[in-house]
Amino acid sequence: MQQQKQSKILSCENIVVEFDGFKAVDDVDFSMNQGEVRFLIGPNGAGKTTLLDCICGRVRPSHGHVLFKGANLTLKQEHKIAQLGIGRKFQAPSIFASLSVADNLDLAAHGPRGVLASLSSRADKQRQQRQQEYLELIRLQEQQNVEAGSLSHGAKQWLEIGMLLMQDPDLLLLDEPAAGMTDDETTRMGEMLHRIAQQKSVLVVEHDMDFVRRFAHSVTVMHEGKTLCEGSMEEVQNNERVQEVYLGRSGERTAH
Amino acid sequence: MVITALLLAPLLLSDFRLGLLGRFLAYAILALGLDLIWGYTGILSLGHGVYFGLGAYCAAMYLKLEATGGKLPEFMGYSGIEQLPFFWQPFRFAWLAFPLAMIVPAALAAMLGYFAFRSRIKGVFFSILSQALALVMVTLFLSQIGLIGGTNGITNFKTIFGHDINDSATQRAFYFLTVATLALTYVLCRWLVHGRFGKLLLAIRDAENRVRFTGYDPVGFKVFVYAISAALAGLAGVLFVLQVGLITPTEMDVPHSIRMVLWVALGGRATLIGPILGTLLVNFGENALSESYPAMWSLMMGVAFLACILFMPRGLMGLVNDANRWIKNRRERSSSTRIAEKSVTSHATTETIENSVV
Repeated sequence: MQQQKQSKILSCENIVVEFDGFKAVDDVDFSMNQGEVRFLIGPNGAGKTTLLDCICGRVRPSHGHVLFKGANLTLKQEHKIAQLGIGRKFQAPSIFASLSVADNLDLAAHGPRGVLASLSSRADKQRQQRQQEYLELIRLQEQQNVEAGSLSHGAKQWLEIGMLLMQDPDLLLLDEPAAGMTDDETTRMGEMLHRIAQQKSVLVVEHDMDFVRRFAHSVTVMHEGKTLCEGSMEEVQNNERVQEVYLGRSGERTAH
Repeated sequence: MVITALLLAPLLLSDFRLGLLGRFLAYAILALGLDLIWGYTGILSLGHGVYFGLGAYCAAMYLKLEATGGKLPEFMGYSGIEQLPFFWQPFRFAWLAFPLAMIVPAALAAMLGYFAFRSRIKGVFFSILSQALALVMVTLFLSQIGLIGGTNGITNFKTIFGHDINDSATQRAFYFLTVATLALTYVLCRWLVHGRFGKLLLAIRDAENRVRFTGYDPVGFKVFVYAISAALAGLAGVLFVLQVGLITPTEMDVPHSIRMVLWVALGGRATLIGPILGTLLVNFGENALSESYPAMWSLMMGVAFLACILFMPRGLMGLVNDANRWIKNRRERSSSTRIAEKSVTSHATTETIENSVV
């Protein structure tokens, strides 16, 4: 029991997030182990993205708290949470459009974050080497001097993932990483998630059920702000409540 | 080349024109600072006149006290003030007054910036806030006739470090001082902008949230660059007072602050040459137009500005960059067609050879 508690990297306890009285996340308990890839699925408006926002400090829970590596994140500012080792990828790719691809990675690179450090910082061999490695990994080495804003949607997604890796976090929060990617790229993304998980923990919000089926080992289903069930993909698919939620929704959709 | 031209200018221009050029070059220092905060960081300040004015007043207070020999300035006497107010005391000393001309604006900007940026006030809301600052300061300065000269401002300086301030040799020295300061400011901004710090400014402009979730606190960077920008405005104010011999609250007012933004917009945001070019062009343009069309010039300037904003949103430097790119593309295209033609002809020759073999 003690052992298990130590290997927990993240635990959210009784999280409630309210927007004007509407409970987007309603009393959620959620935890993840070190080195785990967890998929978070559920219909639209289930509170998946809000839960990610809550973990990375973008929204504050009105109740409950988030523990990361034993530290309470609830009152910490976003940049502090990032410094503690949580990286966040947004649904819409968020990159520095007027900087080159290489500079995007360079700024993300793990290192001092202060104003003075940025004034005195000069090119660092180790950082450059890592930058080249990741450029190769995200297959943007030929476009490294291109303005990031001119990349395709898919390439921006890759760049953002690359920036996250340069940041060297212990926990990655990925919101729909495969959106807007070709089949080939989706496969590559899925494989990479598992490669990343050899050293880090990854929490993925995903809508593309094919992608989830292929790459998810453990899944948490959310519905109307609550966690519905948790388990392997097979267990989750056979869960009656889950079927109800998904089928109920698709029934609604055909009724329209 | 530009520097040599500026250094040779005193030989070619009349004292009056040289005075104008010197004044506009002082404005260019402010424009560089404004470009750091607006062009690079994406924060539009509509109250930079305040920082310019504060710097100018600091220098003016020193010059005034040198003129009166440390005694009470005449406008205080008229208002029945009998003792030099406490906040005038530091300005009896040049070694305090001139550094303060940069420290006071920087400190005010840092304070305002800290509270605004920490509360995540940005975009239009920050611009309005900065404009409100200008209004408050102008009203304050206008109301304090006895303490700071009110509408008349501070003027009637006599000497600086014992030299006659109106002497053309002294004025020429100020001109060279302005050129040197502008050059140094340019070098400083270049250094700031080309390093990691400058990239972070652009990153904040592009995606502030990404900066935050990457682990940087944008507040520190924004406060720092806003303070530097204000210090440069203060420095410009000092050089302005030295050359013009007068500072009034009008120089701090909102319309003047907006005009400063236009210099940067016209020259080209997020370039360093652009703001300098824009400042000189707009000010000389205004000057020429106001001489030839005293009644119409401000209307003409307005139309010119509208045209610029509508048709070249990235300013003059944007046009220059576009032109460069166009020329480069054309050259590449013509060379690539040449290569293509060559390969076609070589292909054709192999074909004929093959044919002849067959």
